[in-house]
This record gives sequence, structure tokens and C-alpha cells, in this order.
Amino acid sequence: MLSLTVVRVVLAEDSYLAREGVARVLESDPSLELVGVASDFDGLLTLVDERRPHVLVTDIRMPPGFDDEGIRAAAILHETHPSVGVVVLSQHDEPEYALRLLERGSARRAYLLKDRLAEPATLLAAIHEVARGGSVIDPGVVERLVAAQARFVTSPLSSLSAREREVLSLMAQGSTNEAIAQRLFLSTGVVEKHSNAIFSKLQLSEEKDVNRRVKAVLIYLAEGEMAR
Amino acid sequence: LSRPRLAFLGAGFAALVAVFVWSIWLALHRPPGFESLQATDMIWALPFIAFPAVGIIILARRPGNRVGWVLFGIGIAIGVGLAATEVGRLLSVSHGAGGTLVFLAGDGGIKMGLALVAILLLVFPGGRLPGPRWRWVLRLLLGVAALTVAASFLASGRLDQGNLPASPLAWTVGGPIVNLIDGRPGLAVYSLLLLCCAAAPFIRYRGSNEQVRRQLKWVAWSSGIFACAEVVTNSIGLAPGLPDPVRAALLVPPAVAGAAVAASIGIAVLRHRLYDIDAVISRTLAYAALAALIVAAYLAVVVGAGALVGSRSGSNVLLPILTTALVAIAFQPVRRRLERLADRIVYGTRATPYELLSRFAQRAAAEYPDERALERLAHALADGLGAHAVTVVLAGHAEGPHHAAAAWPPDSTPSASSVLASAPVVDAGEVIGELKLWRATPLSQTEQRLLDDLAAQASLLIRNVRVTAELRLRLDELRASRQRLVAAQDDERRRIERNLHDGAQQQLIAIAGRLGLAEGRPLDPQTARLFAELKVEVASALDDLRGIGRGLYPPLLASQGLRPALAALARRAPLPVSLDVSAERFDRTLEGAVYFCVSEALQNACRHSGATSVDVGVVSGGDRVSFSVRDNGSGIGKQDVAAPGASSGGGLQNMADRMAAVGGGLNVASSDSGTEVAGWCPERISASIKSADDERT
Repeated sequence: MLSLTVVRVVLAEDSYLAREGVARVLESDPSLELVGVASDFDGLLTLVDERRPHVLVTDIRMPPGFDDEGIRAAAILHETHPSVGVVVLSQHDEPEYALRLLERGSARRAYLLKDRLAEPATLLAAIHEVARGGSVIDPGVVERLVAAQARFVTSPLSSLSAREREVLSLMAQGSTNEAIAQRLFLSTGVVEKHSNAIFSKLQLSEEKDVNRRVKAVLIYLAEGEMAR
Repeated sequence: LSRPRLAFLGAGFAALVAVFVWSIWLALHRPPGFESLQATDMIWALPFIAFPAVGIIILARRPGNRVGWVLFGIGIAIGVGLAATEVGRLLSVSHGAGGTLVFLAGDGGIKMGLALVAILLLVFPGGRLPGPRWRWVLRLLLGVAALTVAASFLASGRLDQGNLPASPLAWTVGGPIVNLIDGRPGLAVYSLLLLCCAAAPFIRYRGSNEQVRRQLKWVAWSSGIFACAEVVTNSIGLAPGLPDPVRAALLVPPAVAGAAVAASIGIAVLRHRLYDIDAVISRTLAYAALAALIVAAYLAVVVGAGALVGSRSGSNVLLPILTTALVAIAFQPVRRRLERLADRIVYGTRATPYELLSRFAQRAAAEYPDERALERLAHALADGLGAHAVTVVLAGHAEGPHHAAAAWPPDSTPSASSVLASAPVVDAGEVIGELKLWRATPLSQTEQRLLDDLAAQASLLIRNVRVTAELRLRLDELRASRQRLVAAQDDERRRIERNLHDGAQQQLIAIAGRLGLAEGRPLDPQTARLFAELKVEVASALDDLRGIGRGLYPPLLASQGLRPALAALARRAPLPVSLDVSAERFDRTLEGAVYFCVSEALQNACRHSGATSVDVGVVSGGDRVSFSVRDNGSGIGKQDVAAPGASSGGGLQNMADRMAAVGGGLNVASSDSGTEVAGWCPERISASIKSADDERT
């Protein structure tokens, strides 16, 4: 069933301008095939039923409620179509939305800010990552979290070195140790060493599974200050 | 009644009186061998003249009322019977047994007269039996009476009337049967029937309206006096060695009381509306008790003190004087107490008219003027005038001009048989309301005057109630409109946020997308640099727009509630903020109010206080939601706390207004060691309505 060469994509977006923008980005990648476009919540679910895509790229806020329909659709698909990956495009940079998306497991889920349309590569990479079963959290969201946490001397994050913070940030974005190593021009062993140091400094139990690690780190970052 | 019949009745009554007089004369001149009587002994006949007299008056005024006939019948039966017994005694001297027959006929007449008294109990006051079944009591009574009379003729040798020979009709064979009727068994049945008759007024009282009750009360009152007179006379009469004049005098009170019973029957049937029997009973009780107390005091002092001092000469003069002085001193206070006690017994919770008026006036002045006060007023009125329904009507009431603003008993509907009485409540020439009451009987003139006076007294209270109601209405309107304003403001903010999101933000995103598409194309370095700069600018514009949208109305608050929204807020704060926020969802307006207040307080803490950390808490419980924002800064100026409108406290005033609009309040406490802003408001929509609230957009 799953073609390794072509990823079938359904797009859901109510704004015409944004829809056209995303569609053009998708068209620019020959390994993606746009098999349907929906403009509201119900249309989205029907379309996924009919077209059986590998990945759904959806706006977070749509008719009828203009609230967080994209995330609710992801939750429903988790039950009805567990194999479908979901990339939520959002204008909210609060981690609360991203965490909601990951509530039922972070595999095959990506949370990207719409700003990423300006960097088509990031969006396309996220789609492929999700199709492969991985998860992606927008670096903007993660960096904001890390920055917010690290501001105060009282935060455990302030005890991390700059490099460790970079590694933590990439872990929160969903990168594997290999990807982190590649990105930061380090060896995998060094990344693992950093990872161990981070988890012990933050007093977190280490999580080997990358998808689960995303969520754990994200929760820590979002609620570290609150969870007392 | 027609004149001739009236004349006929008058003549009949005159003849009856003549018969009485004649038979009394005969009784005083009995032949030798019979018990001789004094004139005073015959005073017992007085009531039996009074009964037909009242009967005639009733027949003249209310010809349809059988009570008149019964009363008249009692007179005839007793009068003629009395005469016949005396004539029989006289005849027995010359004609022997023939005289006995006449005597027995007269005796039978007296017996029938007494049976008629029992019948009077059955038919008073309307002349009808209490119910159809009572016919059997009536028939049995008449039958047994007739049988008793017949048996007295047939009885043999049982006449304890001096020289009177035995009845010539004596039926020796049927002796046992006659004895059965004339003896104890017959007497037992007769007594039982009399008991039934005596019970009739009580049974009637329970099932009848106020009018009949009053009539019955009249006769109950006089009968009570009669019974007391009998008891007192007979008890004193038991004392040995009383002089004859005293014995004769003792006969007077019962006779007068008996006549009073007749008079009270007349009043009850004819004039009961004119007099307030309750007041009469109350006074009677008070004065009877007073008299009893005076007698008791005299006896106690004279007998008691006399025994102590001994019978030295001189003390006999001193003691009565002392006693009289004591009684004189005690008289007024005791009388007042007794009257009050008697009032309470007779009127129960009903107040005497004067009391009602004065209590009413006190209340009207002291009462907090709400609609409950009107209900209490109606209650007092119902008690005071014995009404079974009272309503207070306000002119120009919101529910219509004749809407009852208060009623007692609540939700009562006046029965069809009751009479309406009302009085307008006038204030400065304007009719501002009406007091209406329903009662079994129409108000007497005195009572109507009382009601008018009460209405005048009530005008102050009713005017105050009206003013209070208007003020409260206005206050409610103000509160509602303020709430609507805040809600509308929030809705407007959300709308603008959405427009921003769907309009400008989407356009910028589309531009970003197109800039992104240029990325893969071959560009000269200058253009590439320009594009890269544009991308950064678009990203920063998007960031700005997001910030503006959040400031207008954070989408996170609408979508996920206070806890996530406040967490996001705290994350952006330049100080470490610790949060302890309830995860519950609340009414949208409430969430908005709390969010904006916390946001404002947090901003104040970060900007002005020099604090190094802030604690934010939101808790719900006990039907209210409260929040607090506490910093460890240097505190804000006293004048800012006292007058939130001034200087930096403009935000405080906004917060206070915001909380007031949702029915809550704000408290600011500041000291050198920090400031705490705390607010609360009622939790009107519980978490269970959360989903429904989410459905709304």
C-alpha cells in the first residue's frame, strides 16, 4: 500500500491565500502528490476517508468553530486512521497547542508555525518525517520555550551549557540523535553524552524512544515552572 | 308578619303572662297538705316568661325562623303546664283522682317544654337541623318525651306530691313496661338524647362560617354565665344555717342568667352584627376573674390574717379597711393584666383593634421596605381583623395595576362565600395602592374605620416599598447593562482578533509562502539579500500581529481556558511566575474578567514593584472563583490603593470595574514587602457546561 516514492497528501485550509501558498510549496516537491483539498472540519474528515492519504496537512483553525479543529481532527484520525500522519499548521506559538496535538502519542504528528511557508524546505521535511513515523515540533515554539525557561537563575535549565541547550532544543523538535549530530557537526557519541548530562541535570528519566522523548521534553519545558 | 297575626301573637303572649301570674298566685295559695311556697321561690319562672317574649320578637322580625316558634312553644308548655299542676292540686281536694289527671297533664306539659329547650339547641340559630340525619334525633326525642308523659299517667302509686291520690289510669298489669319507660332505662335514653342535642351546637360551630359562629358564641357566653350562676348558687346553698333572705337572694342570679340566655338568643338571631361578641366575652372573662380575685383576696386577708392576729377587739375594724386598701392598690394593674390575658384567650393571635393600629404604625416606620414587609403587613391585617385572605395591591405595579404585591396567606384565593372589604392607600393625594380583605362577615362600621386608618398608616410603608422596588429595578438594569457592555467588549475583541487572524495574518503568510518559493530559484545576490530581508520582516510582522491578537483576546483562553492561557502569559513575563491555577472551565465572561485582571496585575508587578518573583493563584469553591497575584516588591503607594483612579492605579480601577461587572470585587493590599491583588466573583456556570460553551463560537 504505502508507496515509498510518492507521498499522498490531503490539504485542509480555509483561507484561500494560505491554501494556494501551501499548495504551491507541495507542488514544488515531486515526491509529494496533492490528492485533495478541504476547507473545513467535516470536509477534511470526509476527504481523508475517501482519498486515503499518507499525510494530512491542516490548518489549526477552521470552520465551523474557528478554534483548534486541526488538532481535533488529528485526535479523531488517531482512532479512525492511525497510519495517517498529520502536520498541523498553526499561527499559535504557545506550546499548549503542540502538547495537545501530542496528547495521544507523538508518532506521525508535526506542529509547525505557518511562518515556515517562507522556508518550504522545513515544511517539506516535516511532511516526509511524519510520513516516516517521526514527529516534528516547530523550532520557533521550542526555542521560545527554552528561552523562557532559561531566563531565570532559579530554573534548572540555567545549569545547562549552551551546547546542551542546543541539543535539548533539537530533541524537543523531534530530531533523532543522528540528526542532531549531523546538524551540530558532532559525533553521535558526543550527542549521547550531552543527552545523558541533560536528563540527569533536569532530573528527567531518560527516554530512548525519540517520539516519546519529544513529548517528555516539551512537557518539561512547558510546565517546568508550574509543576512544583 | 301581618298586623292581625302580630296582634294575635301579642294577645297570646298577654294571656300567657296572665296564666303565669295566675299559676304563681295558685302556687302561693295551695290547699293544705301540699308544700307551701314563698313568692321568691317562684322566681325560677322568670326565664320561662323571657323565652316566649324573645320568641314573639323573633317571630315579628324573622317570621321564617323556627327558633321563634320554639321559644314561644317553651313558654306555652311551661306556663300552661305550671297552671295545670296547680289547678290539679286544687281539684284533688274536691274531685280526688280527677285532680290527679289534671296535675299529670300539667306535669306532662312542663316535660314537653323542657324537651323543647333541647330542640332549641338543635335548631339554633337558623331554625334548621344541623343535618338531615338529625331528624331521627328530633323524632326520638319527641317520641321518648311523649312515652314518658304517657307512662306517668299509667304508673301506679308513685306520686310524691303530698295529698295527691294515685292515677286512676294506673295499669297494674303493664307495670314492668311502664317502669321501664318511667324508670331508669327510659331516663338513660332520654339523657342520651339530651346529650346529643347539647352536642349539636358544637358540631354546628365546627362546620359553619364566621356569622353562625358569632351567633353561637353569644348563646355560649350567656349559657356559660348561667352555668356559673347555678354552680355558685348551689354551692353556697349547701352551707348550713343560712338565713332565709339570703336563701331567697341566692335564687335570683340563676333566674336572671336564664333570662339573659333568652335575651342573648334574641341578640344572636336579630342583632348579632351590631355588637362584637368577642369583646363582650373578653370583658366578661376579665371582670369575672377580677371579681373572683377580689373575693379570694378578701377571704385570704380576713380569714388568714384574722387567724394570725387572733380575735382581739379592734382588729375586726382594721382588717376590712386594710383589705380594701390592698384591693384598691392592686385593682388597676391586676385589671390591666387580666384584660390582656382575656384578650389573648378570646382573640388569640388576633389583636384588639387598638393594638393592631399601634403595632401597625410602629411597623410601618421601622420596617425595611421590601415586598416581604407588605406580606407581613397583610399577615397582621388578617390576624387583626379575622380575615381569611388579605392582599396588598400596589398602583402601577410592574405586573399590572391590579397585581397583588403581597397576600396573606400566600397564594390564597378568596372563597366565593366571603365578603370583600377594601380601603385605598393614599399618599399626597395620589392613590398608591389598596388594602383588600375577604371575610365571612362584612366589616362593622368600627372595623371599616379601623381598616381606613390602617390604610392611612400603610401609605408610608407602601411608598417606601415602591421607591425601593424602583431603585432595585434600576440597579438590576445598571448591573445587567454593565455586564452586557463587558460581554460585548469581549465579543468585539474576539471578533477583531479573528479578523486579524483571518485577514492580515493570512495575507502575510501567503506573502511568506511566495517568498519561500523564490528560495529555490537562481537569483542575483542583491535580490536574494532583499528577499531574505523581506522574509525576516514578514516574520517579525507576523510576530507583532500575534502579539496584538493575544492582547485583544488570547485564542488560548477561549479554546483551552484559564490555566493554559495564564501559563502562556506567565511564560512571557520578565519575572519568574509561579502558577497555581484551577484547571476548571468557567463562564466565558468570567474567564475573560479573571484573565484580564491577572494580566493587568502581573504587568503592574513586573513594571512598577521591583519584585523578583510573582505568585499567581486561581481557585474555585463555595460558588465563587477567586484569584490573587502576589509579588515580593516594594509595594505601591498608599494613595494608589486608597484611590485606585489616581496615577499608576488606573489599571486598578479597570480591574475593580471588571470584577464588579461580573458581580464580584477586588481587594488590593500593599506593604513594604509586596503587593497582593485579590479578586473574586460568583461562579455562575459550572464546569459541566464547558462543552456547551465550547460549541459556541
